Amino acid sequence: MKAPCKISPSLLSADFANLESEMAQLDPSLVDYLHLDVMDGHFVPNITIGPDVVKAIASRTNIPLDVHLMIENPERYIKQFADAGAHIITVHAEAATHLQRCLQQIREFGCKAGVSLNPATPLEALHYVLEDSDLILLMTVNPGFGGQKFIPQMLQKIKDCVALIENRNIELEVDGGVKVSNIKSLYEAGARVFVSGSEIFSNPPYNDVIRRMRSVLCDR
Amino acid sequence: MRSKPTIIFMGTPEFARPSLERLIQADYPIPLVVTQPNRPSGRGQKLTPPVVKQLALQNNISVFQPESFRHDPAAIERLKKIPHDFLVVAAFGQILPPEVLNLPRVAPLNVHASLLPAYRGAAPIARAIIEGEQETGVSIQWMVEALDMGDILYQIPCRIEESDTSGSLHDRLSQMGAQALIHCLELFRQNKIHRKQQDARVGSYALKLRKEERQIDFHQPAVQLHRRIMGLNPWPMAECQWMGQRLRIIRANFVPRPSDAEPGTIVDVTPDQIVVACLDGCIGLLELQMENKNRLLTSEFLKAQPLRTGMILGGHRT
Repeated sequence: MKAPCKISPSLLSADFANLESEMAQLDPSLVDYLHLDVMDGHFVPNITIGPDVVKAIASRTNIPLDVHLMIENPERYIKQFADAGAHIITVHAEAATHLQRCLQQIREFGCKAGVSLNPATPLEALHYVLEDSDLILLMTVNPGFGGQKFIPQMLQKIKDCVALIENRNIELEVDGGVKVSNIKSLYEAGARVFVSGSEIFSNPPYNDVIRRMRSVLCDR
Repeated sequence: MRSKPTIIFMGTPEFARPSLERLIQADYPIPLVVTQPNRPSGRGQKLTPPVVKQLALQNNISVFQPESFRHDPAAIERLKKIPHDFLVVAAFGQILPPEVLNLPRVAPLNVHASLLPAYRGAAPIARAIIEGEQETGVSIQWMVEALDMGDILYQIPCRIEESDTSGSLHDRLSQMGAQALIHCLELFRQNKIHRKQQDARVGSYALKLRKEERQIDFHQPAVQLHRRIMGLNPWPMAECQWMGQRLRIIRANFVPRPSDAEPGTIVDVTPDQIVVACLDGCIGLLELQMENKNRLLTSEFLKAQPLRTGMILGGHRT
């Protein structure tokens, strides 16, 4: 309850031809991270951006970059994304054969190590890497595209994940279908970092949506 | 000498009362008090006017009780007709649209029961106790549309004692809130106001208490359970099961005694407390209430209910 709520707008739903101006519209005092979805066309059925674009983004913003690698064999690219300026690098438990080594590698490059699970992957996949993780990212839709609907069964998964984390210093992030209308129930379930793409970038002005997200948590 | 600024006051429950009282005592002109409509309350669920309404009427102040400002242009029109320097909001219980916040000539002020940016939201007093804070306080903020995100104008800290319940802390904070408000208005008069901007990224949220939270689970650390019990008093009040009935735990204390008994087991009964094992350590039950019975101190409770060492109280596994 004490932990603040962090908002990580996902540029996946921003105008890719005008990333700089899209980013400039976000008030840095309202936004905690900037979420970047890296997709390879193998792990997920879509292709987005690579390390060079991440680097270009890093050069135009002071907001810490929350880089979500939806790619096979992520261990091959950790260095590149760390060098590009990532603050958090999150890999999928389903995609990294040597997950523990991969998470260690992320920390060695000076980044925060995140591990992500698709909706159908049980939390058991996290048991033995908790000590190696700074962040857990629960996918609340099947990754690949923006604008999907939150899968309601994920609410229980979030609660179970809170119990798994116990008192460890791990941030619990959720990604997929996060809206002003459901952020309160996600917060109540125990999520603390909220990735939101289409809700923010389809409803300008963006900062107003973020303020509304924070306000509903105060609602009397 | 300039005359005192005119104030429209919005508030509903007990928390708002000291603020309104102090404003009246200090002779601020208050042309209108806005409060929630009368709601059913108490055992008979009789329609009861809010505390603030009663106080306003005793002082011959007009009272306005709109359902909501958000979807009621007529309600906003009524406020527009009353020129005012300040809007003072204390536990009003409704969200105010920007059209209302923009009406006062000087500022819309809010009395909030925490040291913002910590514990923004609906239940700052109870959440601070439940989280084990040793200090909380009151803040006067310059209201903005985003809830509890306004500039901070003045704060008074307040210690939380181990023996505090949400009720006792509420009573102190409501007095301090009134004091802070009067002081803040004085700062405005002297032109000495400083606005401290809030950073939305820091701070925390105090979600409304839910009824289900009263179910307690003895499989939790004793320190945490103690805080929860105190934080849930007076509403919704902590509850466990005994002999198939609901047993309300009104007050408890932390007993630093290790125990390896199954959580929920009564490990000791003294004249004034029932000591129950938790996950680690114990808590002492000091005041209890059986379903449909009166609230009793444990010394009295034990005369009526045969609670003995070795019995097990049922919790709610979370």
